[in-house]
Amino acid sequence: MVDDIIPEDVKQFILERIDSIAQLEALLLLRDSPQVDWTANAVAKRLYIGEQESSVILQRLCADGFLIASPEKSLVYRYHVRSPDLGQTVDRVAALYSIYLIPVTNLIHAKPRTRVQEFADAFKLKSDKD
Amino acid sequence: MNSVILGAIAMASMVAALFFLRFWRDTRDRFFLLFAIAFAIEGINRGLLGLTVVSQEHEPFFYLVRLFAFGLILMAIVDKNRSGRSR
Amino acid sequence: MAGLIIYGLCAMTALLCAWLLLQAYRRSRYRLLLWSGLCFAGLTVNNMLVVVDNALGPGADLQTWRLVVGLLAMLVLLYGLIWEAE
Repeated sequence: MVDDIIPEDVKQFILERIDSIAQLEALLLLRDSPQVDWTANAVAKRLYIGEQESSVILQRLCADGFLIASPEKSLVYRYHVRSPDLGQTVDRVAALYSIYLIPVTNLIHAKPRTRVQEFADAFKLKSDKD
Repeated sequence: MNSVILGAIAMASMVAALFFLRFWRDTRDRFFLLFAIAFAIEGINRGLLGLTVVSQEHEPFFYLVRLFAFGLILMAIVDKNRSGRSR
Repeated sequence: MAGLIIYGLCAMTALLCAWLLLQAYRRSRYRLLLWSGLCFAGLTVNNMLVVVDNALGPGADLQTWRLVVGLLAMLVLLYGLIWEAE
């Protein structure tokens, strides 16, 4: 059922870039207010997660090119995608998530809870995606 | 002294191999299996080196075993780049 | 002689691994990549020192240094595997 509803490229994007519902919610939260700077603490309060978890999520999103960070007083993040294609994909994910909440969450929950695959992926000589 | 350090290296290699085995179990990516075997072989190699008179690494046995272990690592890299996803 | 060539090849393989892992770390900041990259950098040095040791002639014996480098490299890897593998 999930296979029909979510387009293949969006599914690939979610499988590769989104590790948890909290991460997706954080991404969409910052996307909704792109002119606002968020601290890990503020995001944690809005999403009802721990500040440590929030900080890790924001760092990860920043490293993956969804946010930019500005280390003024304390570390703050703002939604700013690395490329227009990435922005479009995030927009599509946001639209799909608002309509098909359960399939998207099922997709994310079905993933293995580990990043260790990145170790093996580091040895791919040609980077097919960025 | 040297054989103590060799023993420690051997032990560390075996532990690393066990971690890679677990990663293989979790991801089903045979890349990790090859790394596990490579590190296990190197661990045994270093252990044997420590048990013998230590400055033996110019003995063909030891450097051939190391060649095999690193060869496995190279094979893992080649395999990773050929099929893309071996999961 | 064959042994030296083989240790040299092993050093280059380790260098390739270190390079790939550290490059990937630069992109994704996944710390396991940093520690394992450093481990392979250490293993590169560890293998190169066999060649250097031989080149320096019978008077020199770098064996303890080689082994210490090798051990440090493995300890760094273990640290990464235990704490940062997620």
